[in-house]
Amino acid sequence: MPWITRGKQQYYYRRIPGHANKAYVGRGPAAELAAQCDGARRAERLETTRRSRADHARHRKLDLIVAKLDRLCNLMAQANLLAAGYHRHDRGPWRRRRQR
Amino acid sequence: MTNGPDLQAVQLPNEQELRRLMALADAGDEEGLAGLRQLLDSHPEIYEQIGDLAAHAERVLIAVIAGPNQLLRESLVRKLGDMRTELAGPATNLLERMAVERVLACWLQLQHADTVAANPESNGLPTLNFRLKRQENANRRYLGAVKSLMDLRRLLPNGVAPSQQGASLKVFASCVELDRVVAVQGT
Repeated sequence: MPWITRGKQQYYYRRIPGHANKAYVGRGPAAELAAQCDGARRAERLETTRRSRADHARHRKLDLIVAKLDRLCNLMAQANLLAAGYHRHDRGPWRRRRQR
Repeated sequence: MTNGPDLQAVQLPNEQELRRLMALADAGDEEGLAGLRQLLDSHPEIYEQIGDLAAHAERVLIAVIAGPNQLLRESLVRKLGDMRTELAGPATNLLERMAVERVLACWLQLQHADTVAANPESNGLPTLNFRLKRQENANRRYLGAVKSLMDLRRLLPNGVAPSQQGASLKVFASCVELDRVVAVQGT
């Protein structure tokens, strides 16, 4: 895609991020070197993204364990407080229910 | 990650029924309240399951935070032991022990989130955003766990024995101390 053939010549163009048009780089050995540098940078960026995604997935998995523990503990604490005769109005503080 | 209890397997017995009874009890229904008490009394094993899950969370988080650094690992283990003693005290019931384990696990998660967020190796805006959100979530969860423990102590004093006055202050002091250890290890 960045190499465009016109007649017998190949011309290297570089994409400009966020723009629809592209920038002309050149042809011949200089263009090939630029293409190689761009390719290496692209590969490095892809590798960084892949590593970041793997890290995020690992951290999410870790958080899932604590989230589950947190949810169960919260539920049990609430159940025990309710069983002891307390209640909460509209996420307010726990209060003892008035005797009827 | 180390082997531990299957997350899907750790479930409250009949959670839907528990939630239904909780809603009834919250609305002031006497039968719902009686049913809730009976359900809680008949399933003491859930505390054991939650304890297993807490131990697993602790193991995994320590392994991830410390990595190959045995000194940091040992420091974390000892610090958690101290925090557990200070928070739970010698005589506590199952409910309070569960709340203490929850606080410890959430604290560890917060330490991990802070450590990861402080990593200078930045991989762009999405990663920084992810780390920040994770830190916020961990902080919120930790504060919720501390509040829940305080609520249980204040409202259900039966069997709940704060080991000593100012235990919370001691824990916060030890948190700061551990932060220093982590900072020294990181440099």
